Amino acid sequence: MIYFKHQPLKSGGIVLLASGKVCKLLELEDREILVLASQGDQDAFGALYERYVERIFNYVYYRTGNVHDAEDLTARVFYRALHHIQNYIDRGVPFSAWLYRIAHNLIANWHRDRSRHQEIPLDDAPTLHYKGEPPEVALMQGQDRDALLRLIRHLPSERQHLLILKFVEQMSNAEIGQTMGRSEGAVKSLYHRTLLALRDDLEGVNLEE
Amino acid sequence: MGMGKRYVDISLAKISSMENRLSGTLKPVMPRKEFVNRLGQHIQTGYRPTFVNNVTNWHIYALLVAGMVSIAVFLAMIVRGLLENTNRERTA
Repeated sequence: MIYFKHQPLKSGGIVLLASGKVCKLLELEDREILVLASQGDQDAFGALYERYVERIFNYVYYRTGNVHDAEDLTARVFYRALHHIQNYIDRGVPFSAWLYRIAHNLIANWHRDRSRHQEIPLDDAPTLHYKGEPPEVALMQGQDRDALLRLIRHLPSERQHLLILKFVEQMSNAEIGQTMGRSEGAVKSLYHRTLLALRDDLEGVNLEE
Repeated sequence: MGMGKRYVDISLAKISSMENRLSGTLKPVMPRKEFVNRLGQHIQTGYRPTFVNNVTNWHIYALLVAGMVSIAVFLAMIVRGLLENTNRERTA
């Protein structure tokens, strides 16, 4: 498949394919980059990193609720992936599914290590911005939003994963199914149950207030 | 039949309103550029900050040190006991 890579990523990462075609590393499909990465090519892994770092960060950020832990755990996800990339077996599922699984395990350990979730004071937390919006539009910190995010973080991890893929990643049910290893129908059903449960939880919170 | 349809309508309305709230809340965020660049450089160079290794294993090291100190104290007590015993036998 891939024949030769003769430029580092910083200089464009030009790759010569077995077909004779020359293209950039970042233009290759995951499957092709993975061949190089699994042979210990750090530029190839760097290309995968560039492709997935935002997604993994978003996933971890919405699961943990603070920027510091999200950065720390995102770094650990990629170090672990780098360490185990040689053992990666392509089973026809997206590469992101593997990264999400690593992230999921690390987040589970993180929750286990903390008996109580520590909220970082806003003053200490770096400001994040919504993607695709100008930098002056900082992250909305409304009470409603915080309450909803707290409820989401109390959902089972599978349901949190589903909501993040659906709303943050804007994936279709079929893509979510591929990533989570479920059928499209099962994803659709879980999605509806999750929304109804969340709605009931939210009504419960409003009644208590 | 009418009751069933009404129930479905209520569920759909609930789902639709939840979807609206969620789409306003769960939006993609941008990680800090410094963080992305720094981690990217570390990954490219294969550099792994030592604190990441240490943070995950520090409690194992602490347990090891505590275990070794406990064993040393325990052995010292046994040796001291034996010495006192032999001294007593000699004086007797």
